[in-house]
Amino acid sequence: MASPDRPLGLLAELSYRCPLRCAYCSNPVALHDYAEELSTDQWRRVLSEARQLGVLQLHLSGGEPLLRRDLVDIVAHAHDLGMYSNLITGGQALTGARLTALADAGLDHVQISLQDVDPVAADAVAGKPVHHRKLAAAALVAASNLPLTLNVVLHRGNIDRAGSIIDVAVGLGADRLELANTQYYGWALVNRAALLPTAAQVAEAEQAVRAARQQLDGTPEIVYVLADYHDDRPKPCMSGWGSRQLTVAPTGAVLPCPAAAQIPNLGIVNVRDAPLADIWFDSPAFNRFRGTDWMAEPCRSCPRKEIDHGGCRCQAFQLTGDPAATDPVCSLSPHHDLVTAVVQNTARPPIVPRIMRSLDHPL
Amino acid sequence: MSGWKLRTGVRLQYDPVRGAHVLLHPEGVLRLNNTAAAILTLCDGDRDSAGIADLLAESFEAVVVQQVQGFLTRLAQRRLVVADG
Repeated sequence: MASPDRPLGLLAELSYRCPLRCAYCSNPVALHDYAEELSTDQWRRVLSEARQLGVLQLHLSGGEPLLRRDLVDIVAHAHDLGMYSNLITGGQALTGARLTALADAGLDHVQISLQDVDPVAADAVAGKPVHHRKLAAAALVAASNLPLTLNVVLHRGNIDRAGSIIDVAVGLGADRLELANTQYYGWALVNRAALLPTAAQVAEAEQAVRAARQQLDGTPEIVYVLADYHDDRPKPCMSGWGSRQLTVAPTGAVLPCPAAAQIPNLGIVNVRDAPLADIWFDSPAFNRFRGTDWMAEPCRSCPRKEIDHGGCRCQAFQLTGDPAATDPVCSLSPHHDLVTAVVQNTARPPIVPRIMRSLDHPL
Repeated sequence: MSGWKLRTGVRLQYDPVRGAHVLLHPEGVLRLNNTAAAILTLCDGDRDSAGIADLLAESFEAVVVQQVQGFLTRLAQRRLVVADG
């Protein structure tokens, strides 16, 4: 196999702590395993090594990254290195003073999540009355010199309001709107039966997106993330394993994607124990599914193997127990009936809200 | 026509790791060749495509105004530059 490319993006999961309880959260369910967060100096070292490795895009996420009191320091260090920093936040804790401090430190872009546009439904999903504070935070960003992205995770309970969500994004002056169908990892997988929309709901939302794109002059840009369970070809997950992005989890585990820690015996290395470049180029975790040599049939002889990379390794593991299997979303997968059965199942159990266990209290 | 400038939240930068200029924007990176980087360096909000092509002709023989206009129009469609004014 040729030497891997250098990564362009780093997802820095600064903390899994979060005041919200969203049932579609992709964070790991066993959060009590993740209590010991990297220190400020350790994050500085991670960012310096990431820049030397080639990273230009920094996604500051979590959990809720604003819970890190050293966030301004981390942003300032990223800016000094020449990185473009994106803050991925719930927004409820974003004050004008904090935003100004982050912007002065060199923050480049803010993404705020909204749970819904119906305030009652939004607060029910978040588990707290935060919707109006989120709208206020979005207005603060829109009035600043930073670009604003709104992110709304779509699921059975809110997808029918896709058109109204677009209207709210326009009203807030957002530059981008991400309408992202739930991806079933972590808590979202636990709640899959309750969250999964019907095929008809998905089709209607996609029609609303098409209509809005025609009607708007390109602002906000609408980024629509597909509902892969309703598709018959898998998503090109991470643009290929260990190809363009890496994730550093709150504890320092370096992962090919945020969900990868669940795959057994992956050979995950912690950034406390090795230089980031060694982990990217040489660790078993990153080399396990690089390229196409690991593929079995039907991927191995598939003309699309360089396009969709066999889909998602974590999804293959979650659904079949084998992380090297073809993503069962693909209609060519021998396990595709597993996805079909989920989509056709009409039982709607109650939602299990994300809980934090030992992480509920700040460290 | 009005002058070209980078859109808010878009940054032109040299990446010493790759030895190339890049255009950084929300959630994305566009790697640039030397001509593209030279064009974008001249997007100061005042110069139109003709003004940029005139200045570029001093260092790049083959650049014509239609190429500059075509390149910047494509970047405008990708929401990376805007025609100011």
